[in-house]
Amino acid sequence: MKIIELNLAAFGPFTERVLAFDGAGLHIVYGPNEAGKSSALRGLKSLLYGIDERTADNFIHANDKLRIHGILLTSDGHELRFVRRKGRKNTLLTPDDEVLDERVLAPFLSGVSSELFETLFGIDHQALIQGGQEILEQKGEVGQALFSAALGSHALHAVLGELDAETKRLFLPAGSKPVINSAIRAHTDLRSEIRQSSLSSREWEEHRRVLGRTTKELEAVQSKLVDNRIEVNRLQRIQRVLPKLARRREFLLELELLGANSDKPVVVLPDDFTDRRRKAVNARETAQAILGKATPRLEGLQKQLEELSTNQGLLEQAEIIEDLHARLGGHRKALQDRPHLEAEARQLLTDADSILKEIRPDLELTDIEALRPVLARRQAIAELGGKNALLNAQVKQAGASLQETEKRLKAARNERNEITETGDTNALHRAIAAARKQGQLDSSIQSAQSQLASLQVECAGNLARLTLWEGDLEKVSGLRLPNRESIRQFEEKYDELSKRIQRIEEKKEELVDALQDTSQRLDEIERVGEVPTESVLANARSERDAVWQLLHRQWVDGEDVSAEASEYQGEDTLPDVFETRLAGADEVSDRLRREADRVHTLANLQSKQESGQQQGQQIDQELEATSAEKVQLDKDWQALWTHCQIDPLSPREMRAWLDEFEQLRDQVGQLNLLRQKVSELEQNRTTHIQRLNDQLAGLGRAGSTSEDLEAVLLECEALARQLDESKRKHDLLSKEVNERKADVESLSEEHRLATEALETWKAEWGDLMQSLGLRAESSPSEVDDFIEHLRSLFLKQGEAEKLRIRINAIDEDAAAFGGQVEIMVATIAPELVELPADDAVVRLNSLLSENRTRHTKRQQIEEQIEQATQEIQDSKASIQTMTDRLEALCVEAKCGGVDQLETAERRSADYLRIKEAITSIEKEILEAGEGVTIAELEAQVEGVDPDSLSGRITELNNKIEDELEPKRTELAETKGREEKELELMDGSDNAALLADQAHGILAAIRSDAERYVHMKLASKILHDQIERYRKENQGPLLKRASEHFSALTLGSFEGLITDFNDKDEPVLAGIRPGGVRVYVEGMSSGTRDQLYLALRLASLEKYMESAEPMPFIVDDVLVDFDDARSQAALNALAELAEKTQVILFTHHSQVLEQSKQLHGAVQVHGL
Amino acid sequence: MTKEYCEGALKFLHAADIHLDSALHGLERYEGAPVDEIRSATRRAFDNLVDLAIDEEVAFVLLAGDLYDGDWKDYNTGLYFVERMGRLREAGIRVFIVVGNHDAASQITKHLRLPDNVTLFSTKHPEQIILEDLNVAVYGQGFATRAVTDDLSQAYPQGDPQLFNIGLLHTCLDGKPGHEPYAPCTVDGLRSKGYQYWALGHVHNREEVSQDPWIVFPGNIQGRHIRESGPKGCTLVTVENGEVEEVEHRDLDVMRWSLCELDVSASESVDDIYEQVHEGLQSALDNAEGRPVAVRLVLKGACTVHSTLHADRERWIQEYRALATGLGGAGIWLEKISIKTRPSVSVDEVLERDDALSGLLRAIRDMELDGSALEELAEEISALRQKLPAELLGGDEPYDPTNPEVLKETLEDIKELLVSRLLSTEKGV
Repeated sequence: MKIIELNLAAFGPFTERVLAFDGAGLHIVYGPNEAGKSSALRGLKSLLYGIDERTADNFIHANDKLRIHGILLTSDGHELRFVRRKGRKNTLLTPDDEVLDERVLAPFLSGVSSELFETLFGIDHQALIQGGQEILEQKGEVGQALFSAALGSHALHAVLGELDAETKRLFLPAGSKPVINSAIRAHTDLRSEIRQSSLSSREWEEHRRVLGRTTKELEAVQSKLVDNRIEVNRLQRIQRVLPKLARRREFLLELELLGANSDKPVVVLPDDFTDRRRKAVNARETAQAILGKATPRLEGLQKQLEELSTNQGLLEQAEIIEDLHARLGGHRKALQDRPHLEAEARQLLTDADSILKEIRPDLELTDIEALRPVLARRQAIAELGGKNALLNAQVKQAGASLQETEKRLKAARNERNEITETGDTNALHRAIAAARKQGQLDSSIQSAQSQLASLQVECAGNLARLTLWEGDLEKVSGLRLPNRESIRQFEEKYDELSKRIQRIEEKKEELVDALQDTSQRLDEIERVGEVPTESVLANARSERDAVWQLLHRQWVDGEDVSAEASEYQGEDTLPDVFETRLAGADEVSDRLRREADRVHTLANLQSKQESGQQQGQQIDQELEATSAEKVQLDKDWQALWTHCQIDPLSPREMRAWLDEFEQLRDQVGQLNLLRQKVSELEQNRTTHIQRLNDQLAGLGRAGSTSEDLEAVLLECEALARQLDESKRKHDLLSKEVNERKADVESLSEEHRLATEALETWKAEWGDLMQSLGLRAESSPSEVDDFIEHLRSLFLKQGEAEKLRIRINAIDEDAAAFGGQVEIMVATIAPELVELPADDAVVRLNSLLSENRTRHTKRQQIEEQIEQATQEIQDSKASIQTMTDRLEALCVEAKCGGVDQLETAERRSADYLRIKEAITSIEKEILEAGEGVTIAELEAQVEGVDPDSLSGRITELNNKIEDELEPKRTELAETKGREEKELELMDGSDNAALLADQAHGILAAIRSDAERYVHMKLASKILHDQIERYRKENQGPLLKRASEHFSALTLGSFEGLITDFNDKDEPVLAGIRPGGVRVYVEGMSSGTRDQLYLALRLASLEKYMESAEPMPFIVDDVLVDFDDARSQAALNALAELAEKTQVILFTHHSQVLEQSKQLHGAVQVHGL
Repeated sequence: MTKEYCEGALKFLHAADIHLDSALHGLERYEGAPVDEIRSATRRAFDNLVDLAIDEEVAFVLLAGDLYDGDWKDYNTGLYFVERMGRLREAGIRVFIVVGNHDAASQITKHLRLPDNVTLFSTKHPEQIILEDLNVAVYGQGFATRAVTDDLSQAYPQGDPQLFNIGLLHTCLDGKPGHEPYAPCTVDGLRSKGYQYWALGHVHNREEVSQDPWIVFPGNIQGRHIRESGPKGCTLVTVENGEVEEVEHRDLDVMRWSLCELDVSASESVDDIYEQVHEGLQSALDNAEGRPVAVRLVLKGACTVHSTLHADRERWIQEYRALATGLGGAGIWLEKISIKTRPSVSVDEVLERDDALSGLLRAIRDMELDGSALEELAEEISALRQKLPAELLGGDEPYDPTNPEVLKETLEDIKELLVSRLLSTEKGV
C-alpha cells in the first residue's frame, strides 16, 4: 500500500494542506520547528487508524470539524479515496461525506494494527536509541535481536524480564516468600487453627460430667468443715472464760469482808470530797499567818507621816517662778547691748550730713525730702543723656557720604561723552546667518562639477559599446522596449516547444527501433513457415459451411444445387469437396491449437507493427504541427521588437541585452540629475553675496568685490563684531550716571534730618538740668554722679532711724521684768526683798525644787498605810468562812468531828474499787463467751477438765487444715476450671470466622495462580517463538542486515556474523576489516544504533517479500549521525524507497542538502 | 384451645438447608471489601429466622433438614443452635426438625440436647405428631445415613381428613441438577398421602412445586457462593379454616450473591465499559435492598477493546474493585471479574502474513488444537499444581491450571498480554 495523497484538510495547525506522495523515490517532508511536523505525522497515522479521542490537534479546528483526506493505492492497483473524521463511530467517510464501512480499509492495511504500524513501520530518533540500547541489554543475543527488529519493538528484553520477575514474585517451587507460597502456608496454618478452635461434642460432654461430680463432692467437704469449726470454737471459748470466772468469785468475797452488808453501811463519798476537805484546812491556816504580820507594820507607817511638812504657798506659784527664771538670760543680755546701738546711730547721721554738703551745699539735712522724687525719674534722665552721642554721629556720617557720591557722578558723565561710533547690526547678522546655513557652497559646487564631467565621459563610452541600436544619449531615456515578462513568456514557449520537439523525435527514434525489431521478428516467424491465423480458420469454416449447406439442401430438401455447386466442384463430387473442406478446416483449427504460441506471437507482433505504424504517422503529424508553431512564434518575437527598430536575437540573449541597456539608461538619468544640481548651487551662491553687499551699503560701508562667498562673509562678520562692542560700552555708562544721580538726592535728605534731630535734643536737655538745679550744659555723666550721691544719703539716714527704735524697746522690757519680781517676792518670800530682781529670781527657783521633793515622800507613806489596813480586814473574813465549810463536810460524811473525816474517806474508796473490778471481769467473760450468759457458762464449765482442752482443739484444727481445707481448695479449683471451659464453649463462631478467612485465602491463591500461569506460559511461548524465528530466518536476514550494517558504518565494519557466547547461545558480532570481532558490548552507542537500523531495514525487506508493503515512516532518525553516516543512512532509505514507500519527516535542512546527492529520486515537501 | 382459634388464623414458618457456620466461598479479601459486613452470615440469617418467628407470632417452625454442614465439626455451632431454640421456647414456639444428609454426617447432631419445645423426628420410621390445640398433624422422618436413596415418603401414613396435615421431608424430589439424588420421590406420590402442605428441604433454590397440595422448597436461608445468587429466606404459611390461605417468601439473608453479566459489544472504549460496569454494580447493589452484595462480574460479547481488556486483567480488577468500593451503600465485594469477550474484527489476515508477530499468533492458535503442546504447557506449571491445596483442585468450582480446557481459555489472555506488551512503546509515529 502507498499513500498517494495526504490532505490535512482540518487538523492541527493545518487547513487544506496537501502532501502528494504519488511520485517514486524517497519522500522528505521538511518543516522547521513549529511548522507542525508532529501534527502532520499524527495526521498520517490518524488517517489510517482514526483520530485519537483525546487529540491535542483540535486547537484551530473544533473536534467535530477535524478532517483528514487521503488516497491509498495497493500494489495491485486498487485505489481508495476517503476522509477520516473524529468520532467514536462511523469515522470513515467518502469524499462526499457519506459513511464508509471501516472494513474497506482492511485490504489496504493488510492486518497491520495501529500498534504494529507504529513500531514496525515507524521509527523515530528515540526508537533508534532505544533499539540500540535494547541490543546491548540483550547482549547481542541473535534470536532476541532479530525478533525485536522484526516487531520494531524495543521492549522485548524488558518484557522477558518483567514476565520472569512476576512469576518469581508469585511462585517458586521451592520458595516460601513468593505470594502464592506464603498464601498456601497461611492456608495450612489456618486449617490447623480451625481444628484447634473447633469444639468436639465428646469434649463438651466430658467437661459437663466432670463439673457435675466435682460440684457434689465440694458440697460434702464444705459441710464437714463447718461442723468441725463449730466444735473448735466451742472448746476455745471454754478455754478462754475459765480463769475469768474464778477471779470474779474472789472479788465478790472481798466485798463481803468490807462490811458493806453490816448495820453501819459505807457512806460513798463524792470523788472531790478529800480535795475539798484539804483545801478548807489549808486556807484557814494561811489567813491566820497574814493577820499576825500586818498589824505592827501599820503602826510604824503612821509615825513616819507625822514627821514630814511642806510650804504650800511656794508650790502654788511654781509656774510663775519657773517663767521668771527662764526670762532671766534675755533680760541680762539686752542691758549689755544698749550702749553699742546708741554709738552706731550717731555715726550714720554724721556721714549723711557730709554727703549733702558735697552735692547741694545749699540744703540742710532736714530739707532733703524735696529731692526724693529725683530718684524715681532716674531712668528717664539716663536715656535722654544716652541719645546725645548717637545724634552727633549721624549728622557727621551723612555729610561725608554726600560729598563722595557727587564726585563719582561727575566722573561717569565725562567718560560717556567720549564714545562716538554706533550703528544697527541686526539686518547684517540675519544675512550672515542665512549664508552660513548653506554650508560649504563653494566646495560643493566644485566637486559636483568634477563628477558631472567624469559621468559624461562614462556614458558616452557605454553608448558606443551598445549593439543592436543606433541613437544618442538624449534618446536613451525615451526608448520604449518590450517588458521582461513578455520576454520570459517567449523564452518559456521556446523551451517548451523545443522540449516537445525533442520528445517527439525521441519517441520517433524509439518507434523506428521498435518497428525494425518487430518486422525483424515477424520476418523470422514467417521464415519458419506460414502461420495459421484465426481469419484463415474462419475462412476455411465458412467455405466448409457453404458446401454443407448445399449438401444439406440437396439431400434433405432434394433441391437442385448443381448450379451453385459448380462453383466449388472441380473434378470432385460435392461430398468429396465437403470432406476436403472439412479436413481443411480441421487442419487449420488443429494447427491453430498446436501452434498457439506462434500464432499468438505472430498476432502480437502484427498488432504491434500496426500500432507502431499508426504511432509513426501520429508522430509525423505532431512534428509538422510543432514546426508550424515554431514559425509562428518566430514571427511574433520579431513583431515585439519592430517598433524600437531592433532586430532581436534569441529571448535569452535579448534578456542580457536588456540588462545592458537598462544600465545605460540608469546612468543617463544620473547625469541629468547632476547637471541640474550644479546650476542650482551656483544660483544660490550669487543670491547670498548680493544680500550681504546690500547690508554693508546700508551701514555706510563699501560693498565687497570678491566672487567668493566665504571672503564676503568674513568681511561682514568683522564689521558686525566692532559695532556690537561700542554699543555695549555706551549702554553701561548711561546706566551708571542714572544710578549716581539718584544716590545724591537721597543722601542730601538724610543729612538734613539728622541735623534737625540734634537741635530738638539740646532744648529738651536744658529744661531737665534746670529742674535738678544743675547747669543747663551739664554732661549726662555729671548728672549720673549727682543721682548716685543722693541715693547713698537717703540710705544712711534710714539706717540711723532703725537703731533708734531698737534702743527704746530694750528700755521698756527691763522695766516690766523688775516689777513682776518685786510682786512675787513680797507675796511668798519676804526675806528676799533686799536682793536685786535677778538674784531674787535665782533664790526663788531653788526654794521651789526643795519643797517638791518632800511632798512626793508623804504621798508614798499614805498609800502603804491604806494597804496594811485592808490586809487585816481580809484575813479575818477568810478564817470565818473556812471554819463554816469544815463543819458542813462532817455532816456529809456522817462524822462527829473534823478529825474523823480521813477514815470515812478511806472506806468509801475501797468499796468503789472492788465494785469496779467485778463489773470489768464480768464484761470480759461475756465478750469471751460470745453471747452466752454467765450462768450458762458456769454450767458449761462445770465438769470440764482444763488440762485436756488444748489437746482436743489442736486435734480438730489439724484435721481442718491438713485434710479438709486442701480438699475443698482442690475441688473448688477443678469446678472453676470446668465452669470456665464450659463458658468458653458458648457457641462462639470463632472457628466459623476462621473458615471464612481460609476460603478467602483459597480465593486469593486461585487468582494469583491464574496470574502466575499467564506469566509463566507467556514467558515460555515467547522464548519458544524467539528461537523459532531465529532458526527460520537467521541466514538470509543476517546476510542482508550485514550488508546494510557495512554500508551504514561506511565500511568501518565489513559485516555481521553469528558467534557463540559462554552459554553457547548465538550472539551477534561485527567484523572489522581484517577479521577482528567486535561484540555489541564493545560497540559505540552510535554503531549500535546503526546495527539496530540495519536489522530493521533487513526485517522490513523480508516482511515485504511475503506481504503487501506498507509505507515506512521515518521521523528525524539522522540527528545523531555525522555527515557521512547520515548520507549513508539516506542512501539506505532511498534504496528501500525503491521497494516500498518511504516518508522521512525532518526539520533539519542538512538532510535536504544531503538528499540532493542521492542517486535515486527524491521529492521534498515543505510544511 | 378452642376450635375457633385454630380455624381462625394459624401461621407457621418453613425453612430448610440452614447450613450453619458454612463458609462463604470465593471471596478473596482485598482492601475496601466489606469484610465486617458479611461476617457470620449464616448465623445472622438464622437469627433473622428466629426474630421473624417471634414477630409473626407463628405457632411453630418447620426445619426440613441440613442444619449443619456435614464436614463441620465445631460443637459451638450446635450450642449456638440450642441457644436460639431456647429463645423460641421462651416465646412459646414449637420446632419440628427432620435431619438431612448433611446432618446425618455431622457429629454435632448426635450429641446435641435440644430443649423440650423441639421435636426431632425419628430416622428409623415416619412419626406422626398431633397438635390437638391447633388441629394439626405433622409427619416426618429424618436421614439415618448420609446417603438415603429410598423414597422415604412411601412409608408416611395417610393424612387425617379431620386435621391439617403437614409432611416434613428432606428430598431431591424427582432429581434436581446440582444436588445429590437423595430420598427421591414423586409429586404424585406426595399428593396421594392427602396432606395439605409438604415442607421439603435439600434443594437450595426456592420452588413452589405444586399448589394442590402445596409442595414447597423454601431454598436455603443464606447464599454461600455465586451459584446461590438472588434473595434467600424462608416461607411463611398462613392457614385458615384448615386451608392454606397464603404462602409467602420472606428474605432472611444478610448478604446477597449476584451474577452481573454484561454484554459489552456496544462499547467503543474502556471508558464506555467502565460506565456499563458502574451501572451493573449499582443495580446489583440496589437489588440487594440494603444488604452487602458479592458480585461476579462477567464481561462478554465481541468488542473493539477486547485486546485491552485481556492484556492487563490486574488493572481492571483494581479499577473495578475501586469502583465497587466507591459505590458505598452496604458494600460490594467483587468476587471475581471474568473477561469473556471476543475480538470484534477477524485476525485472519494477520495469521496469513509471514512475520514475527503473525508467527507468534499462529503458534498460540495452533496450541489450542494441539494436545501435545498443551501437555507441554501443563508440564511448565506442574510444580504449581502440586502445591495447590486440595480444596482448590476439587470441590464445587474446581481449579486445575493443568486442565487442557483451562489452558485453552488462558491462551487468549496470554496472546493479548504478549502482543500489547511487545508493541507497547511511547513513540512519535
